[in-house]
Amino acid sequence: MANNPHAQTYKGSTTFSGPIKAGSRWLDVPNYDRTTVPGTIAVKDLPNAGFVVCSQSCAVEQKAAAQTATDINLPSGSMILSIQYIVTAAFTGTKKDLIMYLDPGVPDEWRVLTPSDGTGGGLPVLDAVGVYNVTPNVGDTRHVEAWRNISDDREADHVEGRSIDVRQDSTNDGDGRCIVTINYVPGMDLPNA
Amino acid sequence: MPTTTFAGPVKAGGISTSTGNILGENVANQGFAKMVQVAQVIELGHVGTGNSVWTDIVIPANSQIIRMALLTTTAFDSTYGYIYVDDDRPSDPQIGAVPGLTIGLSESTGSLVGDLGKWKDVGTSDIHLSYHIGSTSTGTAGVGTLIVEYVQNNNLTA
Repeated sequence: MANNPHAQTYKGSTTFSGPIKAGSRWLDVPNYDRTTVPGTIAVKDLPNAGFVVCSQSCAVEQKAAAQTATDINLPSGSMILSIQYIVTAAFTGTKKDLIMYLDPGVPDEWRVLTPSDGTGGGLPVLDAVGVYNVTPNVGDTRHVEAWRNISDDREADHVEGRSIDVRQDSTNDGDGRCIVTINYVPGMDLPNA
Repeated sequence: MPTTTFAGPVKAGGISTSTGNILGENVANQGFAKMVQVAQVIELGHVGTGNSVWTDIVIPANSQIIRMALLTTTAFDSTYGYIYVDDDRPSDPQIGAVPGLTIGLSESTGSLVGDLGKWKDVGTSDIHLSYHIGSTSTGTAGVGTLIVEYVQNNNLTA
């Protein structure tokens, strides 16, 4: 794990357990008919509070050992909205990529947050400095559903209320470096689709 | 998990008002917290604009929409699997479309973006989002989570 050079500069001063919501109406309203248009309840009577988007970032090195822990630890029930790599030193070697995993504590039950094609495919080839947006791993639906709710209670390793570590795997000993940012909403805990 | 709720908008930054031109000392640097609401979207065959399906998403007045995406966990009809997002006035142009043709994450970008005016500023009233599905779709299996990110009460005028 590389040191985050900005850890002190951006030390937070206002902290909530979260999730943080904002809107002029947030109380539940009576059931309304979702299939009737126009709605049976005026929009001014519906809750309009949304969730504040949170992010965590970590610095990673390509040469780190496989499955190295990162500084990112996501709260239980988080929904992942997007993942971004900022490559500050181009990756080198045969495989110029970076895979991120959710590690709930049981290695066989890891879920992959990024495509896992080591030669490219849906996984960005990080052979140049720049910003890369990363998509979910579509090879298995459970990996996509991990974005929806990292604490999917259908997973064998599920423990209610437990935060989940994020690990990295670059499968190479090259010289690449980058900042990984995960944007998420804590505690949304969406039910199974 | 505890929840902290504000009327909003939520802003953060060390300097709220500009009183000079020295960066870091007296030039305002507050930004808005990015907000998000999500809703489950289910394929129901062909759903025309006349009978759009309500979501649970209500965007506060004067908000700026900055992202619309779909996290598809079960693929929609491979021919017509586009989800068109409308507001509560079905006669208005759609706000955007997101493809649900394949499992994964897709964005409303480029030609899929609809009413740019709504992206800039949803207007002086809250808008309640609904959706309809591409013409003649017959699929019923598709499932996705609609993601709408916005800045509350940014009230842009450009």
